[in-house]
Amino acid sequence: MNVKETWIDATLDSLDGILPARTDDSLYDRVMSGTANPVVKTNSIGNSYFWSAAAGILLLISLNILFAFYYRHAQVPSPEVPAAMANEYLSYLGHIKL
Amino acid sequence: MMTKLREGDEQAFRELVSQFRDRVFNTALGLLQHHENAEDITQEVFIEIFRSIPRFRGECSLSTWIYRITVRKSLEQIRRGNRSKRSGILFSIFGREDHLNVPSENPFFHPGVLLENKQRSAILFGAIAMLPLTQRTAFTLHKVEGLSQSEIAGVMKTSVSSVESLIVRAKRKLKEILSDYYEKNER
Repeated sequence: MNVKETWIDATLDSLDGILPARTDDSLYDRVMSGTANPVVKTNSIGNSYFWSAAAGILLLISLNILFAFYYRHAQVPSPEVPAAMANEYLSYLGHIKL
Repeated sequence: MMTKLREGDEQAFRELVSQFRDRVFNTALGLLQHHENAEDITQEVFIEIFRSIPRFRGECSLSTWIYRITVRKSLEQIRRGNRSKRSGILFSIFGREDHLNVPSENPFFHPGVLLENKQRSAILFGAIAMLPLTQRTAFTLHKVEGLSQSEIAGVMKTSVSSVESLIVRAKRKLKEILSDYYEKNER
């Protein structure tokens, strides 16, 4: 067995004979006070997720405002335009027939 | 004792805490490799035991049930820690988190390890932290907590053969990690 394998095996065996970690009375007191006044722990959302969601919502609102503004100010075709277009189309059809 | 615990008898609960606090703490410490986090989890475990014991129906032994809660809460803590690491995009691109960097990072020295094994055990704990969670759990319960494979199977709600397989795979993976570490740091 070479040096490397010996080192790996020795490292894997380094927990042999391990003794359990012991707690002191302060942890005992803490546990008992915790159970006397249990606090419901809630999983909080990380700040990065919160700000990403806020940025996404802001973007959506901005896009909605932008599109609403564009839609409102876009040129609305006059009622005469469709009639002119229809006449042109009909004359085109007339040429084709001929 | 179980009857008294279900009735909310405080003295019975004190006895339970006295009996199990070291085991809960040691298990959490082995999994989390962080003293303060292990203390926090120990407190959380006993709060949950206090709340849940009226509903405990004895489907397993009391110690198995307590180990299950301890392992579950410890793994939740590990996952929370892993999520916060992944949020660092730059670190994940440029960082070397797939390599064992002990002892340059904060090494973990378990207080129960023999003095002559302190440095090596710190390297090993660093490697254990890189295992998949199921392998890490099985290996830690086996090596650090000293549970038998049948006890571990009860805690992890799996079969003895699955536990055996997890421990074998964990050892194989650890050898790979340690080999890589040796090439980079010990030669």
